[in-house]
Amino acid sequence: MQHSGVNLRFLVYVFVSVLIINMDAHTHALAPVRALLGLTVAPLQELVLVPRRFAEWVSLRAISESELLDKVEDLQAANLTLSARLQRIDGLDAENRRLRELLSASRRGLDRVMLAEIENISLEPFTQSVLVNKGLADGVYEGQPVLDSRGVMGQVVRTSYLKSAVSLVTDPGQTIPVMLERNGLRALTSGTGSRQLLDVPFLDRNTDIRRGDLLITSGLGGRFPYGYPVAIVREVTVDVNEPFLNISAEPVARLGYSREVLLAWPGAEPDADLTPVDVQPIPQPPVSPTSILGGSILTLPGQIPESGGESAPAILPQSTPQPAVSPNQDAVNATRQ
Amino acid sequence: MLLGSSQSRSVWLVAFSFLVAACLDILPVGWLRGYFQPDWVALVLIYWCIHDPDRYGAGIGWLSGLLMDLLDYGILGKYALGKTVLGFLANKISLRLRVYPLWQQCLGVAVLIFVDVIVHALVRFLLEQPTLSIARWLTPLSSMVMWPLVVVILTPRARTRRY
Repeated sequence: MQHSGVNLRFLVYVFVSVLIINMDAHTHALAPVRALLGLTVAPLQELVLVPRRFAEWVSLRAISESELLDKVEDLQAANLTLSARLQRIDGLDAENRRLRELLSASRRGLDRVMLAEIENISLEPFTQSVLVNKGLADGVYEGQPVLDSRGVMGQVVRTSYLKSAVSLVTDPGQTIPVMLERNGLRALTSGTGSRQLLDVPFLDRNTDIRRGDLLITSGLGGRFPYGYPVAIVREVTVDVNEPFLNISAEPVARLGYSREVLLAWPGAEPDADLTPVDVQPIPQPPVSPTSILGGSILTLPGQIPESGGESAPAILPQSTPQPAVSPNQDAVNATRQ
Repeated sequence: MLLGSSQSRSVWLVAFSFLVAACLDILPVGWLRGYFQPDWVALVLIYWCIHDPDRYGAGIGWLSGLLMDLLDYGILGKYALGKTVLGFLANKISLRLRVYPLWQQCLGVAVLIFVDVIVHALVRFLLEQPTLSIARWLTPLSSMVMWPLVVVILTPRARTRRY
């Protein structure tokens, strides 16, 4: 009698597990539950990171003064170079906007970003996904693009309040709409499971694509904003028996190495001094962050340290002229006249 | 009863052992860890199911699996299902496994954890997710090696002498 009771309880647990698996795999109903329950394991995750943080703290204290000075010098040099390039980009951006206006094409805004840190704590060591230390509490939403300093890293697939899981571009389930930077040809990249390899499927044998071509996000599909580098074509082979080319590409982002990543809010305002002259509303990504929390996340104040404490609305009202015009735009005006 | 629940162990000790095991499972040793990745939660689960089968079985398995699901950020319930099966089986064969010598226990543990891995792989296959990594398939072997350690740590000193 007792045995049948044990068996019955076992079957109930199995049934509940299967139910949960199916619900979580096919619907979004369990997202709030996961977010809440995720809080209970947060102390555990922090505890596990204590040794690493301590090691980092020690190594930071152990840096000699000359090393530090060298580092500062390097960073200043890098900063100068980047500022110079940014000036050019400001000018080009203004020019681009004006030309798009002439074509009456829709404008593309800059994207707001937030720094997050990869925490190398997961049950499986060789999966193509990582955990980052920002979650729903920071405004992260499922489907959010994740970048590093070089290019696209992946997208957020699951979130809890304090952490989120990012699926890398090399995940076999991950497909990104891209285009060739050289000729605008649209294509897709899909992950292979190897950190160095992406597949570019479904391109005809007579397609104009060759080794060294840069693939950037095309913005189609609405998840990833336009224009971020994804991969460089490494090898194009023709197999006469197959209708499509065999193309392998290498991700641009440093997938195995980056500790810091950037979470991007496509189309949201980046920063006060990068604000374009007039900004039109940009369509929201299809997976709206509001659908997860039932409240507006994008307009939370003080999400980004760079915004100087000002809560810039995510989408500025149309035809709001901003007084802050960068000097480069005057320069562009002058050249146009 | 030789090693039964006569000396009833505190529920807190059980909970604490599971938390420590979960910490060991997610320890950020990085890529250095390589292919040696024992499933500590499974080992602790088997230990309690064998040594106190009247209290621990599929239920505690389900709970520990849910804990792993939350730590994994994968699809919820994946580990819960595997650990439920693991807890149930360990509970069923507890009488036999408990009187085995340690090296035979190791083999039994490897088989049990292999079943857990197969359940995990099956779920992935049915959901059309990428297949399991080699590290995960090697889990039964690496866990088997760690079983004596778990036994030594979790068994009270007075009782170890009986082995």
